[in-house]
Amino acid sequence: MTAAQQDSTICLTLPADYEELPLIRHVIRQTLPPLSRDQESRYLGAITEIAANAIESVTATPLWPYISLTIQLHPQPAVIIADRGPGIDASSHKPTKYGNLGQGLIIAKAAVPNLSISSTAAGTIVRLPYPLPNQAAS
Amino acid sequence: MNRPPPTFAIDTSVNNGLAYFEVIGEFDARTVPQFEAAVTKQNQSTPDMDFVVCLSAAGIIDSSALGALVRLDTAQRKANQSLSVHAPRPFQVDLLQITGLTEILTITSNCEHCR
Repeated sequence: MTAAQQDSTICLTLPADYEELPLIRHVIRQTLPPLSRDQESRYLGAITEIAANAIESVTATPLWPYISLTIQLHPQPAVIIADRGPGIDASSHKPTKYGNLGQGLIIAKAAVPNLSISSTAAGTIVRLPYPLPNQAAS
Repeated sequence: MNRPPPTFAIDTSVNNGLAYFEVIGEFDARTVPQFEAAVTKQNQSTPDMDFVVCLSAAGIIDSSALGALVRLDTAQRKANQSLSVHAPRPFQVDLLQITGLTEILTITSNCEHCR
């Protein structure tokens, strides 16, 4: 794992492995403001879906079997997950080539409606704005 | 950076002909195999039982976990046994509704086994 911390951003490059999911959630809990129990379950559930999709995506194309996690602290807290997999069709929630990725995206979008997806054949970047404490998540 | 401590456990018990699985912690793609292993172990030691899966202590539930519940429900139906899923927390109710699983699974909002 490599890590670089700047004033307002934390970046981690992690192996594309489901074993990293608890670490991803742990880092987010440690660096961003606490949420209510239900807010945290919704937001970290969305993070889990997106991270698992990224892991699955690059596992199918093992040229660069890593995913990146970026935690933006200021001005608007957000978590960004990126991979170099084959990309997804964000409008239809369907994968371009591999696996059953659609359901996870639907769940993530329901939990974090303002998430944004940028996807090409060279990879996918998903940005999940962090909710304000006590802000309704759905 | 230190790794976080283990965040998942399954508490299994049998009572009045019912096998009860309490899922504690983070139920996701990483921990689904542990859940399925616990179910298999229970099935081998005491086959042909109705199941209850309690999610009240599950803080994370992802689509892999939901898939495991659907597979378990299918297996139980094939064996002429039942599965009830106890999912009382608001985010769990929303998750099951979004995915349409309220139409497939037997969902309860209260459970006599809960702590």
